[in-house]
Amino acid sequence: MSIIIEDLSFSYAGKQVLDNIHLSVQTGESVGIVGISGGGKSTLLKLVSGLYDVQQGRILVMGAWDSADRRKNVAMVMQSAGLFPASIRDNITCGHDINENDIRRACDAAQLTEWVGTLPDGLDTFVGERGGKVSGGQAQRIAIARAIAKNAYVVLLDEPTSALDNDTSAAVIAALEGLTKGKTVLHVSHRPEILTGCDRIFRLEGGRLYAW
Amino acid sequence: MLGEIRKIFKVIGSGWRYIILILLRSPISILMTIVNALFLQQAFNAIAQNDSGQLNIVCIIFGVASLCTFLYNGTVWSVYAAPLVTRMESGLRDKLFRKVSSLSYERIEAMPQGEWLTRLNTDVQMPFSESLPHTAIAIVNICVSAFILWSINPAVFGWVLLFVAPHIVFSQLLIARAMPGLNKKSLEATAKNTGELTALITCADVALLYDGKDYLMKRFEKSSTDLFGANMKIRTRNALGAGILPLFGLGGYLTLLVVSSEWIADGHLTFGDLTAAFQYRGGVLLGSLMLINCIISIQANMAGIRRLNETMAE
Repeated sequence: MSIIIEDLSFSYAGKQVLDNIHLSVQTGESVGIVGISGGGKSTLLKLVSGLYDVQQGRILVMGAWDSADRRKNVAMVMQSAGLFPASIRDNITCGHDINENDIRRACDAAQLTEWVGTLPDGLDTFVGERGGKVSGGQAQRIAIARAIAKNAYVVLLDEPTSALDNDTSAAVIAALEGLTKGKTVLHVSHRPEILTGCDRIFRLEGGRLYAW
Repeated sequence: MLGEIRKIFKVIGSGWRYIILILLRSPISILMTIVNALFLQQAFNAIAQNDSGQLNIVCIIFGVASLCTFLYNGTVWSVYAAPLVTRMESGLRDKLFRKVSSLSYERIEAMPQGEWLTRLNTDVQMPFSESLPHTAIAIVNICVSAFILWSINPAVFGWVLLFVAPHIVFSQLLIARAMPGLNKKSLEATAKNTGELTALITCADVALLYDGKDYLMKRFEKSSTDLFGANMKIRTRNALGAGILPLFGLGGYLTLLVVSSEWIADGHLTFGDLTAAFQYRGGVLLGSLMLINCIISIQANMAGIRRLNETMAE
């Protein structure tokens, strides 16, 4: 099993968001969770990724219970690309020593290569503050390349195309295929049609998880 | 420079109120110089004539004159200056905020967040720095002191001028000229530093997931070091000026003392006249120093005022 969630409950300032969640995801499996906005989907992913500490219950990701250890095993693409005010290269490597071939491979898989090739400074192009100098789709593909470069076992997707138009979404979805190939995937969205490629789909409602 | 100042006061409005403020404040320094000079002149003349009655009258008049000057200054400050400047500054901030809010998102995105914050927090204070009123105070002090000094003894005035002129030239060459550029770099470094700090907060989730905290911290530290370096250059220039320039003042003082001792011995000048001349010399010298500092400060503030004008003109 890549992910095991047992008896997970979580609340913000007394408001219960997740209530007694149980879920097991096998290695290489792709699981989708659908639910309304504000229904706790992002919270669930933040807990699985180790961004939040578990209040009640347990989460195991690739054998790690601890939040810091879980973070090492996951790559996550969120609604907002969360780019640093730095170059494309630094946004992909996050300052780590990653060799040029791996960066190029990540760019290929994220469908960035062609666009980067048109830039005078290539990978060293500054993306601007909060990614202001690149489009939403390009920013999201840089975020995907960053996730690919991490080469984590588990990929978490939190509505990565929700802020994009249809044409841009198609390019990002193609890039996501490069990221999720052969990985364990947990994908949350408020649009069920986005999750059609998943092996299993669940519905998150009232803080509880139901079969779709 | 004047064009930019005029432009920003046109945006702020009520520029004539600020002119009244400058006019009200401009005689303060020269009033104090004259009161001190007349007191010393009359007091030493009375002492030289062994006239204790005259000395008592001089002391009472000095006390009353000092009190009046103090009250005038305090009244202008508390009743007019402070409320006016506060009102004008908040008005400008309000106008700037409305202007920035009306800009396109694309325009806002084009500049680092720190740049906008610097405009709203720091730049709006620059048109209302003390430099403008102090410039007027200094000019009035220099002109009136120089005129009185000339009327006491043209030779004394000549000696004072001989030391004040290189003082001003040296300050201009060494400090004032470099200040606008240095201040611009400092503002840019501040904006970059704020941007890096913002990234530390807004990208905290990505930094945690991808173990990029050290990377962001290093970037923030580098921008902090750059900011420190930019500010240090400004402080070094100021310190250099503060260290070297008093030499001119001291040199002039000693020279005047040596030269005037002969005039006193010959009966062309009383000791009271000399002490009064020193006061007026102080008026010229301190006025010049104040004027130089104000010019440096105004030039430094111009970077911010220009940025405000650019934004308001968009």
